[in-house]
Amino acid sequence: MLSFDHPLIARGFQRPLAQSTPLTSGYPALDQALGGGWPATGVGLVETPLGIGELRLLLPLAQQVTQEHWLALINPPHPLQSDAWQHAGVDLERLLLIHTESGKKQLWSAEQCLKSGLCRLVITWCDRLTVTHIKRLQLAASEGDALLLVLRSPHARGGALPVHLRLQLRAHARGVQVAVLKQRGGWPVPAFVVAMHTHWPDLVVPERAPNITPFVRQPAARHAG
Amino acid sequence: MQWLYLYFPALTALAEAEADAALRDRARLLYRTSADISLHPPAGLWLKLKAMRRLYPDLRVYWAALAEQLETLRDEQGYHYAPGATPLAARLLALTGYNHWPASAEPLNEALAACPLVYTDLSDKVQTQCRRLGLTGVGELSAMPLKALARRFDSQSVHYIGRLTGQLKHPLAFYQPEDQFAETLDLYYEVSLSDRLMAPIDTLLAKLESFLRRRDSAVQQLTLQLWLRDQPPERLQVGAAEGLYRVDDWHTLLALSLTEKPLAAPVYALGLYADRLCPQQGSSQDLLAGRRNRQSAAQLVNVLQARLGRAAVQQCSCANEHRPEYVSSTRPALTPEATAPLPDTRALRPTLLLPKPQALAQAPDIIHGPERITTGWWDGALVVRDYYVARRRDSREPGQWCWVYRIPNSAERHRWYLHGYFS
Repeated sequence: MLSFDHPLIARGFQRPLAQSTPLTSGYPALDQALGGGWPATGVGLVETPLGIGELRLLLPLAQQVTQEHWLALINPPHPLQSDAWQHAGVDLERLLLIHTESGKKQLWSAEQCLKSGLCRLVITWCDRLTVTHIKRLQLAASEGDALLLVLRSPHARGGALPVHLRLQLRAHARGVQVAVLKQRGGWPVPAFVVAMHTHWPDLVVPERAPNITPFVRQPAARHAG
Repeated sequence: MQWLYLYFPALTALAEAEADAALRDRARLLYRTSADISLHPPAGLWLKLKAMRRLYPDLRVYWAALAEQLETLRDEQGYHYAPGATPLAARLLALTGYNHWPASAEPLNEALAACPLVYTDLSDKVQTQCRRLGLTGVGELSAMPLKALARRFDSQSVHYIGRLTGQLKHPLAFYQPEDQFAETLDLYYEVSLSDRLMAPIDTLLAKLESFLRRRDSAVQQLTLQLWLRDQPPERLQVGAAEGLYRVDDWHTLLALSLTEKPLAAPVYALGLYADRLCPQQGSSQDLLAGRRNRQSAAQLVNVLQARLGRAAVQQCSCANEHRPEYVSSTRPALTPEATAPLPDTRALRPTLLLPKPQALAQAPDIIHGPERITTGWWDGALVVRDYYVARRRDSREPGQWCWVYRIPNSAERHRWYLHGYFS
């Protein structure tokens, strides 16, 4: 019986398989959990508090993307400190910053960027997403061969969304703790630590040698948290 | 045959300003075919044939091309034309309704000689004088030597006859096409929905495209004026990051700008203006690159800026500066960078910087530091700060990597400020 996957059947509407090779994340532990890296196209949801290293988790990807394509950041929560981005190897000439007043325009801009085929990666911060939004963005992403990563707060409400990938990030002393809640074509992965000491040696809590007792200046209770 | 005169009887009935505009329209139209055109208000155009002979050795072919252009005017009263050895001779024959293209100069000269004096620009008094002298045709008058004429007639008439026969020079100023595009369109009915406006706007854009194509240029900014019922007219400026000229490109941008602007009242007329022209830029796209429907950066930026505003789509760059709040600068996307790029200092900097430092209630856990920044004493924004890399304990999500500072040697040296996140 001839299956639809038979190579003799031309399927003009589908893109070649070669384009769906995942984008390496720059962190071996994360690549392993994601089956090779970030998905090449689609919509990924990253649930993360602000400031725990979530952007640093994406910086190697951003660096890689801006070598050839563009990166769009839509509505970042604070202004970018551009020298940090430049230092991480991101080509600022290919970084587009978009600020919108309303959520409607934010999603519209994301859609335009994804559809354009110019931006390979679009990162946006958005807490309110519905199934319709995601479906529309997914269509745009596949049209333009782009990946959209939506960063949202862990407290954001919303039911199950039809995303390609859903990650949950937590702060960790040696990097970021990642749990893969959902990935298309793969199994969920329980929480693991993405170590950042190779990329950001100054942004890990130094481990104390076991034979050194710290000199306690403050009441011990305050260190407990 | 050096000159061709075109006479449009319909224009004589119009007011001066209208006739002038209509005449310029015709000159603009004929400029596509003919190089040297001189306006002769209110209703005539001179076309210099000498320059065109190199392009059209057979002038009848040239005339066929001109006639084709003139057909597009759909002028009911039509036009009269005649070639001539001098500008005034051509005009004179055109006024009589000559409308021929003779094979040689002889029939032309005969027709000119037989031309009654009524058609000349001589004053009535001079014409009567001539009739009394027994001069009935132009031929008899032009056969007389100028000196003999000067004894009988005023200098104006002598001048006219001298120019008519070619004995005197007749300098003419030639038409130069305008560098500005301005077209208005009166709508047949009032339109109150902005998307209904796009059809008439497209007709204006088509005119703009043909205007720009002929000049091999493009525009970066268009002004659309909407005349509203019982309201002052509204002007809408639409910009693009690169010069555009195609109808489709401008259509998208104008449609996006219009959706952002609800109409206050029904529109009854439209105007489209463009003044600063820039050269067209060709773009090459790799056919085999694989990525489909790839837009150029300028295309995407145009679309985004049309809806969100120019300032909403930015690019950032680094300034050569040590104060963190002055390092990042943003500019509208795809505009040239104003500052010299920063040499990479390799210092650890946060990815996100708070626009305003935020006082912390509780001391954070210091991981690294301090890094002292003391600078800016020369421009009044003195910064003396000790920066630390720290982790926060007091927020809702503990463990945030922060960039905090204290101000050393001051009264509040124990106070911590949060300035950025190592996000």
